[in-house]
Amino acid sequence: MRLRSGWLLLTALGSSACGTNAPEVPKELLTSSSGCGAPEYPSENFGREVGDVVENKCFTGYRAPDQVPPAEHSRETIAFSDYYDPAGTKGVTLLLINTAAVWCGACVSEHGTLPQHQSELGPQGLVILGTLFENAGRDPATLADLDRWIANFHSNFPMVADPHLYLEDYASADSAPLNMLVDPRSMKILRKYVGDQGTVMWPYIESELARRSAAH
Amino acid sequence: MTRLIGLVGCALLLLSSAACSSTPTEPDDNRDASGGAAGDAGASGSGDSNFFKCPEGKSPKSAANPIEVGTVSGQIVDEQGAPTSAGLVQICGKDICINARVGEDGALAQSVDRTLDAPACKFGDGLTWAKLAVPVVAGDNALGTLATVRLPDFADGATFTPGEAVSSGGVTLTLDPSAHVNVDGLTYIDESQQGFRAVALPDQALAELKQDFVAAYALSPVETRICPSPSLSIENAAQLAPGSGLELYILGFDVAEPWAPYGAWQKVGEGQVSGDGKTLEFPDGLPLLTAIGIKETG
Repeated sequence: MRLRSGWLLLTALGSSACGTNAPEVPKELLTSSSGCGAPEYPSENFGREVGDVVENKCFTGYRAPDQVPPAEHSRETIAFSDYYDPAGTKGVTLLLINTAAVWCGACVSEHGTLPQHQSELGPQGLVILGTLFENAGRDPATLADLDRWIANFHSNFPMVADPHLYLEDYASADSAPLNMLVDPRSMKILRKYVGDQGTVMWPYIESELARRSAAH
Repeated sequence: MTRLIGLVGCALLLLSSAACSSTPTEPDDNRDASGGAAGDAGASGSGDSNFFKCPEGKSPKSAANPIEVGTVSGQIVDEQGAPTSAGLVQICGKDICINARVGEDGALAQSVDRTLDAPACKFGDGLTWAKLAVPVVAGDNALGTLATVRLPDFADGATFTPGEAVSSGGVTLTLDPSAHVNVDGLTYIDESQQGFRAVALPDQALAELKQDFVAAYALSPVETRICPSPSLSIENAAQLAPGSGLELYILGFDVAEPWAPYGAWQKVGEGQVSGDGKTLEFPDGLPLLTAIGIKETG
């Protein structure tokens, strides 16, 4: 990952250059397996099933690809922790983490509909975070694959590449898509849907958004 | 000097530390991102603002048909009967797609053990190998030998040009001067892969389809949409009698099923053997490039 490599290089450069006078680098920045630190992010109860906390992961992609067209200079580091919203100050009510691969017809079909869902439910606080993990030949998705995917579907929600298959922790990368609904207040998994189960999933999302809005 | 380098290093470290912060710079951007146009269904398309998207077919979407699938087994071979992985073998329903494990010996043995909606076994990647599919039924599926065939090399692909004919493997498409060609740019990522390629299916592959086709071909780029539909002419390799009536079928790979049910064949037109017996003519054209099959109606 380009940005990750850059961070490691900078860390190494800074560390060697500063010597004993170097500022103390936060431990989590040095030890995070994903290369991204998030001190405020939950640090326990990680797991893969409903009720577990999703471990923070860091990706490269685009936060708002409909506003900033995909290009090398506009790629960003995006982490699950970006959507951790314990106090509700970020306006994230529900986080839907989606996996997709170019070889997966169900994923292709699903992404034809996701922008419409984001348009309709985004104002209520739904954030879809799409992850593209493999290309047509089952090779790890590149950022060029991601750019083509976004251009094809006019994605209007955060989209990242997941060449390391981080999401395989939650469902086999041999089967796709996975849709995982996460509570941004706690980053706990609310629901996992393996496969495009839109007829079940979207009614649940709509009811959950309504319930949370009423509670608020 | 050492101190200067140290200061630069520290500045870079702090800068990069800030850049990699997990705190979003503008978290509300995510919510503001809503309101964009809905994406095009299907894999055709391009980011080009001048891109013209051909209208989709109006074939009614088939009803949901969830079935519990056990183990799917079979043997993948090439046109010479040699084992191959065919690039990609999948057990897919309209709701979920599973990559099957295929050994170097071409043996397919995939434990599915889940419910799939209208599943099919798709084999061949459409890039190097002809992309085909056979239905999968409830329970265990012993699919027997599945023969695929190698497509012509990319270098032999013929460029689509409006107003001109394009030929490969005995199949000729004649494009209207106003034709638009929508190639699946996610799978066929550069122009060198986007030429027209066709290959006839050997008798064994034809028999496996169990459709009583007198001939069948695999076309590529798979799921290329051309509008208006190009007329289709095929060499009469089967030596059908001049004037014989024909039916044209296509194999559906698109979950949205705009032209054909997923993993199944759909009649899309009629034609006949030319008067001189040299070609099979389908003047109404072919709306979508995929596997095609031909039946003789007499």
